[in-house]
Amino acid sequence: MSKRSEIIADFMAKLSVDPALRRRFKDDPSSLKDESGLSDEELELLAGGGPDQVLEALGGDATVNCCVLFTGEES
Amino acid sequence: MAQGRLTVVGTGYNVAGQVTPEALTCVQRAERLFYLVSDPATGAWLKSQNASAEPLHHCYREGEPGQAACERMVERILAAVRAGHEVCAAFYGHPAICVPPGLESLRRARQEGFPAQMLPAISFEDCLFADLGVDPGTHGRILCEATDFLLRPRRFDPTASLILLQVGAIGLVHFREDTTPNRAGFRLLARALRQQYPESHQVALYRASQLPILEPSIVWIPVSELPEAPLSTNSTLYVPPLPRRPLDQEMLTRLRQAMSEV
Repeated sequence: MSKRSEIIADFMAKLSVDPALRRRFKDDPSSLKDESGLSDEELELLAGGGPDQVLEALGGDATVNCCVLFTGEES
Repeated sequence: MAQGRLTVVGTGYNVAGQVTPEALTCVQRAERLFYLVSDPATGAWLKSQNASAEPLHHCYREGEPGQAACERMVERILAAVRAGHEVCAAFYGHPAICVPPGLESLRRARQEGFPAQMLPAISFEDCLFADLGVDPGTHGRILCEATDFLLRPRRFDPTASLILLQVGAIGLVHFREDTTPNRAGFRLLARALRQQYPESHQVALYRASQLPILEPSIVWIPVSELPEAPLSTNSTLYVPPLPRRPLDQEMLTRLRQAMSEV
């Protein structure tokens, strides 16, 4: 995971535990520029991008398909 | 050498937001932390909580049955327990629900004589009840994995709600990095449901939000339009209950009688 992806992930963790911060992000993403450490472009991507774009920006080792599981194999 | 110990926890689906305080303590204090999560932000957050964190995603091999990945994960976790470490294994959602390595590592650790526990967590179903605003206690609910639901026909009561897991992954057994939904399997499921429900019955294709900035995906459509519905490999299908059955008057009378005798 790149340094930028780590900063985005850290911001996600903060948003995940703080509904008030989420509301501020939703109302005006650019107001969190200093707090998040993210650029205007990155905040714009997070606010307006689809799930695939956001996950791509995060990079890292998890993929959605890792959730495809293990049933249907036994007799 | 200190005796190894295993705690299996769930991270829910919202990075840190759905992790219980008890699970968080276990994550932070573990000597070895293993994790399998469904988004990169949660993985990064776990690494920030415990420097020993190791992902289990690498246990998947392209084209291999999922069971082989499960076995590899369990062995990695158990090897650390056998080496005398205090081990925490963190899985997405609830570690007992459709996460085979969660329960299997617990079972095997206990079988080998190690102290092992699993902590409750927020499952996809908890998110579904909250996002759709439904109470499973009112009408009851049946929960099945979609492939199993098709392959092992069962009698069920459609006046209870029906929740089918992994409806986009019906019949998919082997891991593929670029897996796409199995539309053919989903159409078979749609056909099976049409035998139980009116064509106009509204059902919901649901995906919990994976990140705090994303909304859950909820698409309501009639059963008749299911075959072409938007689908992802991790979609869940929620089928609301048909109208309630009338009260059993005889049982009601007996119940009143029994209560009057108390």
